[in-house]
Amino acid sequence: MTTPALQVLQNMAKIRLPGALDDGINLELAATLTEFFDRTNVWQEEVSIAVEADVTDYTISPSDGLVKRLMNVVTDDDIPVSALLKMPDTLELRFAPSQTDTYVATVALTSDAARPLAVPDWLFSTYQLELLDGVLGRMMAQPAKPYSNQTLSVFHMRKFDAGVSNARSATRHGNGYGRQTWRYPQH
Amino acid sequence: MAFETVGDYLTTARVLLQDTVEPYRYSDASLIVAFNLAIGEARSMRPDMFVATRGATLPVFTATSDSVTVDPQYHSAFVYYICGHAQLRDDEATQDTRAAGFLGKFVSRLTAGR
Repeated sequence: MTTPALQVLQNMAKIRLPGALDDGINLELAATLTEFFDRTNVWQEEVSIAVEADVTDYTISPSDGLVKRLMNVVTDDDIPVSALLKMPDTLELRFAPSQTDTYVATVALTSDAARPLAVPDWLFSTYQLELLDGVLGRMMAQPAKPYSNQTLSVFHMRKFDAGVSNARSATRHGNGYGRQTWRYPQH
Repeated sequence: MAFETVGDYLTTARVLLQDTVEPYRYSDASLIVAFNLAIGEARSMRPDMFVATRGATLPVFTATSDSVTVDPQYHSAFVYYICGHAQLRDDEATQDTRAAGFLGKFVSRLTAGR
């Protein structure tokens, strides 16, 4: 499904890529999204998990996308819990809970390869120019196309890399200006 | 003009070939062969045009009524290829030049956008 923000992004790419086909743009956009999510952790979700006594493994089911990385796990009282992620979607607690409880796992998501453009619309709006640079860089790197341009490809990929760094840093700092993400209790 | 069937491409190509009055100099069958060859050539140069087929066998057209989907940006490229392939069979020097011109246009349309 093409959302309004996705449509704008696709149109912005088209006017810079004479002769490009929609399918080609979408494939490179999918690759760009995968790399962007993997390197930035911008797409996160808090998933509630009903834990049981003496059970360490739980399946994490985000509302959309695929779990890429486990950011943290806390108890219902906001106490950090030691855990790791067994790919692709199993949370393994280091120590089994002694009683039933509701934990909250914060996970970084990535797009599902089967539906690579099915990501929240706000991501296309918020990171419009970063994603555009990624798509343009990848498209222009393709050989023997009307829009092939190695010089501009390098230019756009550098801008994409800078955008990735900024997005990762902003995410790490809670998208706040001049602040750190430290909070109590520390996760 | 809509380019929805193989026949639409052939009709346009016949104008450039100056072969619009029956009996045709170039048969439908020979031009359909050229169109099929164009599909194969395009697949090797622009695989992104065939993403929808997802690696399946390329379509083979056998009749002018067969429907075909080509991005509108590249309709002319296929017409040029049909013309070029048809004129290759003529052995006059001027036709050779024309054939090479059409086939060159096909390649440049796909790879350079002009």
